[in-house]
Amino acid sequence: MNIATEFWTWNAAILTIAIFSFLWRDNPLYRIAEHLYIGVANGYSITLTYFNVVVPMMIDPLVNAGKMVKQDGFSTAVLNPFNDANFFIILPMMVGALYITRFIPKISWMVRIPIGLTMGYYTAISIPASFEAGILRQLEASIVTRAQLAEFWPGFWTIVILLSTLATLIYFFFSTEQKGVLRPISNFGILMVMIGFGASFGLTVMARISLAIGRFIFLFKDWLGVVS
Amino acid sequence: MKRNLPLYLLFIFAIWGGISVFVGKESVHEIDNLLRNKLLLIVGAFAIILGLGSLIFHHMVKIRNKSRYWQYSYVTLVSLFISSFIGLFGGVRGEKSLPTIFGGLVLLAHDGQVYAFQNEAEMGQFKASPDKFVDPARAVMPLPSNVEAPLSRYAASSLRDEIELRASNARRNGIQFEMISPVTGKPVPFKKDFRIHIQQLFEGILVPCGSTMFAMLAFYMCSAAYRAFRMRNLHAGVLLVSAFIVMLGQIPLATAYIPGVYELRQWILDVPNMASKRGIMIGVGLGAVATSFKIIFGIERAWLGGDE
Amino acid sequence: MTLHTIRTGSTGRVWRAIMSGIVCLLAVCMPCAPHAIGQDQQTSQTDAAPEPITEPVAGDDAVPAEPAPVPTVPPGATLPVVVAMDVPSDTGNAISIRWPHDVSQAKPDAYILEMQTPDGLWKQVTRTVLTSYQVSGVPNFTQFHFRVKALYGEASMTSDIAGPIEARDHWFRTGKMPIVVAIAVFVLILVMFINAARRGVELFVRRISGLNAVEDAIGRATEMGKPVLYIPGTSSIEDVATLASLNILGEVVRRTVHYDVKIICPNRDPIVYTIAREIVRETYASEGRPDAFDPNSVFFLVPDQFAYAAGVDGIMVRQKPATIFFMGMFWAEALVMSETGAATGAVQIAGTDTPAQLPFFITSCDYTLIGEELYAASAYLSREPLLLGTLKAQDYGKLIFMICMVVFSILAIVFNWDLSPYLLVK
Repeated sequence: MNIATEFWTWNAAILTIAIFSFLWRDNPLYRIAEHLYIGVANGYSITLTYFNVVVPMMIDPLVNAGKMVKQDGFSTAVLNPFNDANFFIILPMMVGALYITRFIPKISWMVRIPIGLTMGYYTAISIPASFEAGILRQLEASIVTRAQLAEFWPGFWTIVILLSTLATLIYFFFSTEQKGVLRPISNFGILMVMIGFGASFGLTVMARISLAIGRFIFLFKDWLGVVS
Repeated sequence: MKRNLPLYLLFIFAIWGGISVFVGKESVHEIDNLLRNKLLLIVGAFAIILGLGSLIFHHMVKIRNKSRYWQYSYVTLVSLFISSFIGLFGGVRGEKSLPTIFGGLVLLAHDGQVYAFQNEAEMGQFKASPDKFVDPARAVMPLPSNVEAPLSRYAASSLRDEIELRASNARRNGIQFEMISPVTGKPVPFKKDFRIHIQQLFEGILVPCGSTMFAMLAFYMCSAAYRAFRMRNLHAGVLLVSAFIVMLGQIPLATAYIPGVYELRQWILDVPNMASKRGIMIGVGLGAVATSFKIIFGIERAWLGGDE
Repeated sequence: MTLHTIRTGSTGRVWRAIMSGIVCLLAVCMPCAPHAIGQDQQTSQTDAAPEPITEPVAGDDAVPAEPAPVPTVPPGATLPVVVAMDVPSDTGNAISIRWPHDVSQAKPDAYILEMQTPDGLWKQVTRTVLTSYQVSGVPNFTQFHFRVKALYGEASMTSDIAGPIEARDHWFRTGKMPIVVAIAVFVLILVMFINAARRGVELFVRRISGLNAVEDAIGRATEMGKPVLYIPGTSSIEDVATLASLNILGEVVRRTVHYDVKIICPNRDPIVYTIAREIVRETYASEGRPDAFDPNSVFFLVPDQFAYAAGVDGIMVRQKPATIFFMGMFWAEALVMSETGAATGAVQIAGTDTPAQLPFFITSCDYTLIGEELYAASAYLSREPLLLGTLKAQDYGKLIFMICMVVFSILAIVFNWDLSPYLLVK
């Protein structure tokens, strides 16, 4: 047995046990670990945002633009958003600052402005992406060609895949009741969906068990040193 | 104004976002990249202030009301403030002014070389009259080109990592790795420094907690499987059987002794799995498109407080 | 999708422990497990088509297996003719070069493509056995020249110089045409149904059991006097699933206001938090109860994925909500939260469009909205005609794609007309 002497290894081991203890029930050790985890994760996120967004995208361009104006006088270059030093970024900063209006009841509606433009942009760019990856690519892959039917069994299964895809889509068709001929088709569709989900479940099991083993290896090898 | 202005802005940004995908002009892409990778990030950064305000408020209220388990709120608040303070003033890896690296192997950069000492006093002696002690043969390694002398805490800390790595590589290759003090000529044992910079907090707190939460999935998967087993309905049964076959099909021992299990697994993956995923993806794609249009056309306006 | 969950309580814990032990033991005993996992990753990788870097234009020619030993050019070998052109309808920065091989002539071992930069220097772009290449990453509106060396053993022949040619960016990317057509068709259907809804035409939508359960689940919380926990997914606003979830949140809150039930909504993303808070506050206001809105009910928790799951688990076991909604986009943390929720005895309704997490929700939640049911939810719950119109458009769009699937397959099989390349977006 070669127990670890490092502070951070002990710390990690205690936190690992504290989190694992939740499998038994909620307890003070887990509560401390959970609250510590949340606090530090937020602190880490603040730091990263500050050094990756606030400093390079807000503070640096403004400070550099200020220096430029001081040295060379005002020029339109300091308004160009593509320049490293520019005052243009004051505009998005002002829009972002509208989030804070939430605390001022009279103008709290203005919080909708940054929300609106963010939502507008992201919903719009998602439309072509959804059509491309989610629909057209799948549609293209579903089409059965003559070449695919050259051999019997692969061809047969290609047709089964097409029919199963159609059955799955029929299960998710909301505009008609699932009765008559649609009922067995949609039942077949959901059965295919369940087999597919089972496959996802089965594929994930081993990976998750490897992770659990990894944590136990850390406890027994790196911390307690009982396994070499 | 209160509803229409945000809706107009939403529409304008949506038109820009939508059109930029179809336009090949470099200038349009440059503006789009600027909007996506800079301007919207700047706007979003302000939402973090609201988020953190909300978190702090949530815990303050808990403490003020003495809600159940209110004491733990102190853990979150204190760890949040300490870690933010360390991060903002100490830098991500301790490169800023707040000291977040303590002790460790005493190193000095001199004339492009890195020297190791038993303690600060020894290093002081060397610094006082380097000509008396300097001996390139006793240097640990050449000073990396990206590190400047005199060594900051941060630079010394990354050199210690480098030395440790070299030592372990040397040990692995059966080569003796020794650091000799240029002052006393005695071997200097390797001593790690103690770090509390935010990257260390990440590695020492967030990584073990996150990995353990992730590892708990192995246990939850078992209980979820048991729950599905108890459901006793066709769909859950089919899901479980399929999961079991796929799992068996990837265990070499099972594929060696159960004939056809590997082929069955492959069939499940290639036929029902493929078909259902395709069906779901097409449906999800259309659902996402419909939802996007609902928002762009102002039909879905829950975020504006409905129609009233 | 209706699946009734058995709440296991402490028995579940024992089973969980026993089964976990067995599975862990199995895993430890099998040294090949990582190998098996590796195999799976390979299998899944085959689904995604790799993006080729070079784009062969002419029929690609195989290299002769044996290198030509003669150091001279074989008799009858001709100079390659090089054709260089700007890649049409792209975003620029790319030039396509072809040097078709005359099949009646001796075949070279390989070709070397060279490019002359504006400073007059020639540099090798690639060595290839193919007869075409797409140079990418060149600046737009800058003139380049190209030549090709055909290699015959140690001997070579150099083509005439092609050029000057420059890469250009274009206004419309014709490679995206299938999307434009699809959007046009979808918008047409959408406008049709919205008009129908405006005219007052009744739009039928069949029963979706997972969504019918929402009312009952909130009613249960009312009876038990316990809160409703709403998880709006763990992704950002960039995912449409998050927006769909936020729309459902509005409908759920409308009901909790009606039944006077407390709602708890922890968030992982600060922007999502801001929108969620606005939705909850506005819904309280529009339902005539602005005073009842508790600003502490919607809060930001943490941006870290598993820290969020840990926090939500804590809320579940300590506040014991009667009903839990998981709506939106989820990753691996989905099961951590839903299993904890199931163990507390809450009624759980989940909805996600992530196929990888759906099996876990199905096994651990009472009701699961699969894929597009998530997107149908807000329209279904609100029963607002315009929203139902979009749901119908979604449905009929699907019908059109189903018809395309069948018709294109028949055309390909019977008449050998493979239209699938026209669906590909470049």
